[in-house]
Amino acid sequence: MSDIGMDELPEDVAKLLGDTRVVRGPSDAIREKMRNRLVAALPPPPLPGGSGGARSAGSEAAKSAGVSMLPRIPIWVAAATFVVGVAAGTWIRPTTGVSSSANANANANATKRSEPVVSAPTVHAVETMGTAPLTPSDLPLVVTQKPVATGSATGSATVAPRGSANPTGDLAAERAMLDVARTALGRGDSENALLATAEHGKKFPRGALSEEREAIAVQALAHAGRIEEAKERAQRFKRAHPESILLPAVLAAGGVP
Amino acid sequence: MPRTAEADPKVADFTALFEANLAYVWSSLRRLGVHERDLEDVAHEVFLKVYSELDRYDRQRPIKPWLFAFAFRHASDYRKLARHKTDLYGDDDPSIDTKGDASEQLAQREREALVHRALECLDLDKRAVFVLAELDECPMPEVAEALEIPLNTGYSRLRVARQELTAAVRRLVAQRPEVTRKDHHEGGRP
Repeated sequence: MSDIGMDELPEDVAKLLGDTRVVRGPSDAIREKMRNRLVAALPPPPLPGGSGGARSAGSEAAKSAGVSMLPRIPIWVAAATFVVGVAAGTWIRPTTGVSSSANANANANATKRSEPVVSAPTVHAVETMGTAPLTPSDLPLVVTQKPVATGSATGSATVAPRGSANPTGDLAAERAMLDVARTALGRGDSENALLATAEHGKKFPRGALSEEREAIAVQALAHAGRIEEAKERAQRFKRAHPESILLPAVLAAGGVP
Repeated sequence: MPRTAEADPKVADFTALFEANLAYVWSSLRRLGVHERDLEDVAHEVFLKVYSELDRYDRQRPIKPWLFAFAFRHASDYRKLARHKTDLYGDDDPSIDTKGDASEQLAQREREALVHRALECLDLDKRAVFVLAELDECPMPEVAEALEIPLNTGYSRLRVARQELTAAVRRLVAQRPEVTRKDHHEGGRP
């Protein structure tokens, strides 16, 4: 390239560069692997009514405002996923069979209010998320309710899950949908995270994982630079889930004191 | 559910773009200092971002500077990680195509490595201008637009980059074995 008035490269250096102008890509095997990996990683198509340009504009606004949520995402993802797991376990447990001793306990406690059990998630539960290393002290304590058993004449115990009656298949569908949102958020793609949470909200407005959905949505809004919406949604979350383990993180993301 | 090019025109468009430009993005990342071992992962991230912004691409504009801008931003993030600041060219093992003249290929790789090492002496901003302007032979207005810098800044960076790169090449050639010096003085031709 030649630019008037600029120092030209010496001839020998220019010739040396000539050799490196040839672009060289990866091997065919790597190319194919990359193609497959990319297609598998592409986000789902946008939902009808989704806003195309909002995220980009929001991201720019976030950048200019110095808002960077990314460093907080891994811990969020770990916490939210763990709670999803807990919720799933709470739901699945009664469907996989309850032992006779459990039935007995359930009957004995049928009229008592359940007591909260405080437990810490195992380190393994977090490590499998592939997030930044956490020390045990970083791990959130998770408060789970023992199932509220409703005794019956046959002694069987049933558990009322959060939200409406929700077959296990629906829970799996909910989880899959939120996995999409969480993954998108993890790579900074707040637009698709919001689309996925919106889709979840449409299909499961009172789903078992609606709390997790809202938490992810607040985070995604904040990440997209839609600060006011994030704040408003965080406040709604606070009103709806005042005891949620996700509340501190949601409030932090939404900028609510 | 995985998306397919057959079912989704955007995916079809994207995969065509990927096929046509992977080599360019790959080379650009390499020239911007991404280590050989990390190219696949960084290129993957670049193309995911390209996909998310595909609707905003103005098809009247040349594709390479647009793609280079993505590569530049990802290379910049990559290089901010402390573990990538050193040893960028320490353990390269590029494969040699056994079908061609192996000694010529080796000499070619030597010359490429020399240029990459010289590029490493430039800071990333100047390096990006130099790569786009000198190696990709983009006109400076396109360079400035792609990198979102004023035109005069682009010219200024290019001028300094030329000086610094020339000095780096001279220094590196003086330190390297005779074969490289011979190649260099013969203009890279055997």
